[in-house]
Amino acid sequence: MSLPKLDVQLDEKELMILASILLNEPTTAYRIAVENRMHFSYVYKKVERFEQEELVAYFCEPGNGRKLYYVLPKGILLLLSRGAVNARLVLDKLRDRWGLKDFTDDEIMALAELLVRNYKAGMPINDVVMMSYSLYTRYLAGDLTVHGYRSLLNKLFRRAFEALVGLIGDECLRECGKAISTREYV
Amino acid sequence: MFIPLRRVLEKLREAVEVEGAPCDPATLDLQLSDDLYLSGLKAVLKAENGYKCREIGAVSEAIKTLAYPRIVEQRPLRTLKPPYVELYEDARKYVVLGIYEDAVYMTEWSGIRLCCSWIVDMDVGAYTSAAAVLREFIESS
Repeated sequence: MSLPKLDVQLDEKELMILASILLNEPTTAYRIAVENRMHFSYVYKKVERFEQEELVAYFCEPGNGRKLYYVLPKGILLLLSRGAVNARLVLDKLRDRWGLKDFTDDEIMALAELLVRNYKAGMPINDVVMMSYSLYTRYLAGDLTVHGYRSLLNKLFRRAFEALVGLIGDECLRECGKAISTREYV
Repeated sequence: MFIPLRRVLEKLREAVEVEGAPCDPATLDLQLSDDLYLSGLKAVLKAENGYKCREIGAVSEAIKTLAYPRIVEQRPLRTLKPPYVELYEDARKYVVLGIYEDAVYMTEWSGIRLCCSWIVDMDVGAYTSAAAVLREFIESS
């Protein structure tokens, strides 16, 4: 399935670095530099930009404190939309990072396509609850074409809103959990 | 002694633009910026109509010495001694190399707040020599 290009401006070299992080994650700026024959300072500059664009994040390795970078869903979608990585290789990563364990490969791919087609600057893609809220409010405002995605979106919204209500408390979830999980949102 | 790598690369680019000759580098050993590379002892500038090269000798080796600072372990903040080489800086963050006792440290700062401090796998003598070469380069007319 081909995806339209996500509206984030990265050149070919930056795409290569981002793909290198994805294929080796979690990984360090040092390792990316060595593998791509780039100066550490050059890679660091690119990774800083990726962080600001919310394409990557990092955690510190216990013990030596090295920064280990990994690609966020927004970065994965960007690589996917530019044909820089094989879709089959990244579906598991997207499913894992969104916490959508019972979504099939086709559903994850359809969600990726929907997000890329409807992407707007600042749209929350990395957090599944915020992403769902954003999609739902746009649907209510008539700013989202749901044709072909109705079943997927209902499943997504049920999951996300259950998680959201669960944050408020178990009692709240018990009271309205059934309504949330059976409701047709779109 | 404080050496911003950004200044080194700016000066290198100027030097190749002005004094470099058209060339066809066999290999590009190390990418320094979007359009600047090292190939052996030459700096290589990629332009729309091809490459320009300029022999830079020891400056090339000095830049390569600092190219891959592999972190060995995290350490508490120390008062580092010069030479200081700034590997990266922007409006909110900078990364600086310096020396404490017999090790080269890399520190990452956000404004005046220290984010991280690590020992890196770099020989102190090689680091000091490289820094001296880069300082001489940016101070030369």
